[in-house]
Amino acid sequence: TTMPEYKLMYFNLQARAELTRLCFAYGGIAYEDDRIEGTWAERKKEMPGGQVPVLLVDGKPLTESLAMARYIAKQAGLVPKDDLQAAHCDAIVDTLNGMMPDIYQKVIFGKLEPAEKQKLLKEDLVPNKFNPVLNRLNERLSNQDWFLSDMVTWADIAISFMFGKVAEHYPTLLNDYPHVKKVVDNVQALAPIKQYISTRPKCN
Amino acid sequence: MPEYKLIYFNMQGRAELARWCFAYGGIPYIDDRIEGVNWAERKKEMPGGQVPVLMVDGKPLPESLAIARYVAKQAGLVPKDDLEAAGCDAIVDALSGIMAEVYQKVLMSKAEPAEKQRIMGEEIIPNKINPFLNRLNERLSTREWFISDKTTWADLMVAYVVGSLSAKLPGLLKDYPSVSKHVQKVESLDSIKKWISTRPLTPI
Repeated sequence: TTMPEYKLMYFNLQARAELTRLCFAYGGIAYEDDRIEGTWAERKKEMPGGQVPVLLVDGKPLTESLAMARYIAKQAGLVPKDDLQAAHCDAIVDTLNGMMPDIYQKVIFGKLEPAEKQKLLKEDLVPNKFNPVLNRLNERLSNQDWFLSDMVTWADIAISFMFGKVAEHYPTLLNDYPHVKKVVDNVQALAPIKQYISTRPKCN
Repeated sequence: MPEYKLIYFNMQGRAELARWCFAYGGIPYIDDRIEGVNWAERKKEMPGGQVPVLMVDGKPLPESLAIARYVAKQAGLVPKDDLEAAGCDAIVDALSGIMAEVYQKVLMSKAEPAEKQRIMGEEIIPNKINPFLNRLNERLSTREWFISDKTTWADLMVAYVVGSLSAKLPGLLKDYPSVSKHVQKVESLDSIKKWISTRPLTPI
């Protein structure tokens, strides 16, 4: 069977498109990485609901960042066949995705001074939002290599992306969570991911 | 079949889609509704201190949409085709976002009634709900169900969320006759009709 033609449309940003891009990379699946700069007011009219990301599959639009990430993850062999295992991956990805506003709106694009952002991270976001998730993940990962034990899934890719992103702004984040750090590092070390990370456009 | 227990508050909210899927599939489960006074105690059992949680043979699965998608699969409500499944995910995610905004800013907010009406009438309905209803209405002009040629969990989610909103806001669907007909059609399915008429009566 021939592969569909894929075009991923988003800003020149990681945020809500990066999980999909990482899954494309893992699967070695070709796609057009359309990064919208400066012409948003015009391009917005093309998008169902006026939002991005949008994934065109043979020219037909698929909306919603996690719907498209899950779809590409399946094409890349990153979604388990067992329904319950797939559900556990869905659950952790949903939880991690819930951290996106904290990371992007409050920290990366927030209007606070850098020192105030660090204070927000240290006194609120890290202890209240991120550590509880890190704690549970660290325990789960203490006896196994990947979130689902013996296979890499899009859950591991999401863990690596999200916590890797926070750690860029809060370097000590994973100090107390070595098993999570292991997954963050091991995903980044996978050959196709490493290759993608080293060549992707530099952006937030 | 596994033993299922769905744990949530005594309300529809984020558990109702899973309950509709259980009903559609004729799948037995314990519908464990936590009363407010018991929440502080019960919270400790829940991964991440949140509900809903679905116990599957005694093991917890968190995250409302991961739960609903899993139950939907057991009930035959998720298409086998990956792209069609993604189309369902996109509709469910969009409606989940709309529902979350309505719950947070209106239904469970402490704002004055007049302010709630303003937010609903001047922001949420014109900016979020109507554009989405427009796209749903258009899609139904050429098909019977939203995705593929049979009922999916996306159809149930539309009926649940749009049905609930329209019950609280008469006239919401006056410009979207196909959506209105579709909501009625889903609500009239034997299994759904039975659930709606026998479920515990709660305001939301």
